[in-house]
Order: sequence, then C-alpha cells, then structure tokens
Amino acid sequence: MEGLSSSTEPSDMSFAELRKSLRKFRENGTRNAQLSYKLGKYACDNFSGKLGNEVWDVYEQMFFACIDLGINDVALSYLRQIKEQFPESKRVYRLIGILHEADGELAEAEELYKEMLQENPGDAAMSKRLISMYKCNGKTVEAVKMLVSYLETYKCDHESWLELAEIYLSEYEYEKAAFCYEELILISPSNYLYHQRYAEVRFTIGGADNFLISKMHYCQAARLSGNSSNRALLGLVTVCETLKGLKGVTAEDKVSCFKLVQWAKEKLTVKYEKSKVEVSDTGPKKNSPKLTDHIDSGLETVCAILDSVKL
Amino acid sequence: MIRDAITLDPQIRYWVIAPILIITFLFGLIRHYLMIILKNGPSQGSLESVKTMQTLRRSALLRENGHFLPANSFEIRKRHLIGEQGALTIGKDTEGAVKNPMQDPSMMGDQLKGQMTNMLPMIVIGGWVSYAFSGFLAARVPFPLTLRFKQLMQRGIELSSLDASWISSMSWYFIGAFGMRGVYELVLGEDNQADQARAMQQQMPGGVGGQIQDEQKAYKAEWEALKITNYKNALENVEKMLLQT
Repeated sequence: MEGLSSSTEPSDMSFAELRKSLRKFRENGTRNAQLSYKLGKYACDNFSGKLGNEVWDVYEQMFFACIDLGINDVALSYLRQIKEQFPESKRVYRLIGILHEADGELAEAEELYKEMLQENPGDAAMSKRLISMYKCNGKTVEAVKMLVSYLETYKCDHESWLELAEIYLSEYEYEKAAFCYEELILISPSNYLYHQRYAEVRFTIGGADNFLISKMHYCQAARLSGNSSNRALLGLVTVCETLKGLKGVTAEDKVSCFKLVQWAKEKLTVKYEKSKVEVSDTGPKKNSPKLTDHIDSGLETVCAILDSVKL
Repeated sequence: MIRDAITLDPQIRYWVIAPILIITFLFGLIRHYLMIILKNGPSQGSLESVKTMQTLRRSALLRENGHFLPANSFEIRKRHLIGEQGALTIGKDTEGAVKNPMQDPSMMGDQLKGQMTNMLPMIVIGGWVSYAFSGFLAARVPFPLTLRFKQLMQRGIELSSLDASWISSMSWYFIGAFGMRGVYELVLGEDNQADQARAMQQQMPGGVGGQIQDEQKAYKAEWEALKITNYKNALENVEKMLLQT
C-alpha cells in the first residue's frame, strides 16, 4: 500500500504518517478493520489534541472498524462521543441505525430508518440503509419495492440499478434484470462490464432475437475491453455456436458467426498460451509441481475444447 | 499633459493609505466569515426538484446513449417519457406554480442577508472615511482621467482646476474594496463572500426567479429534443469492426 511505511506498527509511525494513512482509508472507502482500528486507537489515545476537528472523522472510522471487528460495545462508546458533539445530526442517526443492526436489533433499526425517512423522504443514505437491511434479512419483496421507489426519484444512480439487477437475477426475473442493465448502459455505455452482463442476461432469456442482441453486446464488450475480456470472448463463442444451430437465423448471420468464433478462438488461445505457468527446477516454490500440472492440464483441456469447436 | 507640481505629504502614506487598506481588507474577512455563519445550510432541494433533475438527466442520457440499446428498448423508453402520460409531457404542460422569489421565504432570507452584510459595512466605513479623511488629496492615479471622474473621485475637494488624476481618500477606499478580490482569492480560496464585484452581480433579483421558471422550459426543450431523436443502432457494425482488429 503506497504511502504507508513498511512497518504498520503505529508506534513506529510519526503522527503525520498516521494521519495520512487514516485519511487515505477514508478517501478510498477501504474498510481495513484491523489496521484502521490499530492506527486509529493509537492516534486517538496519543494525539487527540493534534487531530483537532479531524478527530470526529477518525471516531466515525473507528466506529465502523469496531462494527466490522464485532466489538460493538467499543463502537457504542465512540458513537456516544460523536453523538454528544453532534446531537441532531442525520449522519449520527444513521450510525445509530447501523449499531442496532450490528446488535441484531433489527426492529429498532427499521423503526429508526422509517422515522427518518418520514421526516425526510428524499434522504438517499437512509433509503439505502433500509433497502440493504431488507435485503440482508431476506425480505426481498420489501427491498425491491423500496428500491424501485427510490429509483423513481434518483434515476441515474448506477449503484442502485446494479443492486436491483442483482436482486432480480437472484429471483430469476431475467427480463427485469435486462431492463436494469439497459439503464446502466445508458448511464455509462463505455463500461464493458455492463455490456457483458447484459449480453449474458439476454442469452439466458433465450430466443433468436435475444441471441442476436447478445452477440452484438458481447462484441461491444470485447471491443471496449481491448479484446482482453475472457468472459466476453468465451460468451461470444457460446452465443455464436448457439446461433449457428438455430433455424430462424439468416445465412448472413451464420456466416458472421463462423468468422466470430474463429476470431475469438484465436484470441483466446493466444491468451491462454501466454498465461501458462512455467516451472523450472530452481523455480519459486510457490507453484508446486502438482499445482502447475493441474493448471497445465486444465489449459490443455480448454484448448482442446476450443479445437473441438468444429468450423 | 502638464504635470502638476503638487507634492503630497509623505505622512499621508502612513496615516491614510495604509490604514484604509488594512481596514478594508479586515472588514472583507469579517464579511466572509459572517456570511458563512449566517448562511443557510445547503438546501436539500425538495424531492420534486431532485426528481425533475434526474428525469431530465435520464432523458438526455437516453438521447445520447440510447443507440446502444436494442431498438425496442429505446422506443419503450422514448414513449414512456414523451407519450401522453410521459414524465416529460406532464412536466412541460404543467404551468409550474410560478414561485415568485418575493414570496419564497428562505431564498429571500438568504438574499437579504447577503445584501445586508455587503452593503452595511460599505456604507458604514464609507461614511467614516469621508468623515475622518476628508478635505485633502490622498493619492494620484498614475494615468490621466477625464474631467467626469473628478466628481466621483474628488468628493470634498472643491478645486475645479485640479487634475482629475488626484483622488480623495474616499475613492481610495472604493478602489481598495473592489480591487481586493485577488488578495481574497489568495487568502480565502475561491468563491469567497468578501468579493464585492460578485456581490454586485448577485443582487440581481431576477436570477432566483429564473431558476424556478426554467423548469418548465427545460422540460419542453428536453421533450422536443427527444421527440426528434431517431433510433440508430450503434452496434450494427460492431462485428465487422471487431473482426478487423
């Protein structure tokens, strides 16, 4: 991790380094619980004066670290301090809700979130907390309902669309999941992952039209990823193979399928050849001979499969 | 241009120029921090306005990126937005309650506060300067000015034959107040409230009303733009392009 000294013992680090690492964690959203807790505790115990107003951010960080580590009572103590300083803050109420959830007091958490949402229907953070709570507890129907109404307002929130797509997929609602991925493509069409997943969903739904759409999007995903996405390439092969065997497909399309399969096979073979692990006698002990044998034979099998795809 | 052989007392430098400058600067700082304290927190923007913005944004995204979708999906969304019950149609037909800025209390409050904190110190200090530092020349502007400026620059000095380049302390105060923007930017960072020039601009009352009335126009513009967007499959030739790589 850049920016951190080689030792991660807080007593070895200067105050400036401590603060910098904690800030980095906050900015990147990393929830490295053990490390954050160690560093944060040291900083709070020994440098609380120097931190100044930043101390509240650090307390919040510590709160999350404690929750992640399961030491809820320590988390409560941090929360109390924050609450004393900021009694009416919505951010604090959110933390209280999180603590309830961590303690397993789901009913209280739900009540709290609903209350906050009644006061402030537009509060995105609270809605998301409630939705994720429902999802974790298997209350999928409520989660979906809330998520949909949330998305009615915040139409361009790609995180939420992804969430909804995942839920639909887990419920086998493929058409609806496809809709969500379409929204994601609208939001950022240059992200090859969205095209890929959209193609996969379309392929799963089935039917000649969907296969054709799927093929287009696999191509786009492959293109956007610089021909490096194995998933897109393999997906392309599968789709084209399926199309070749279908009745309702035009001859032109079938020809392009041939070409695409050949092309994809070429790319994949090159890629897998490159990634074969070479182990010499004096090589690193990481890859024991047995493991590389497995990898090698695995790769041979894949290449054999590709070879067997008859043209 | 005949150079007037007027020499000013060097004491003026210490007792007039510098104090006025320092006082102007300090008051600007005070104004900035006062505004921060008094200002309303960033208004959440009602749910309605968020919804509006997001709908408009979605429509724009549809126009821009809809070509990556299958034809059917595009048409469904287009119809959903500009059809009879479409979000855009409703938006553009609703004569939005013309929120008169005069009646919107929080906006007015903000505006008033802004005006007060800007105008009041100026008036107060201006008055004090003209009381304390009147009746003599403070400085000379290095470039020649026309006679019209005499009226502005030479308050309190009743010499009709005097070069317009000579200015009174009052005008020095005004120059300082407006010119301090660069200094404030260095000290306080961008977008500070001590900037007089910007304060002048912000006093336009029409600015606030315009924002709210624009909603309907924005809807209308988006509706029309979407109406004329025809779907063209962007991924038609992707296979050919792919095979070429």
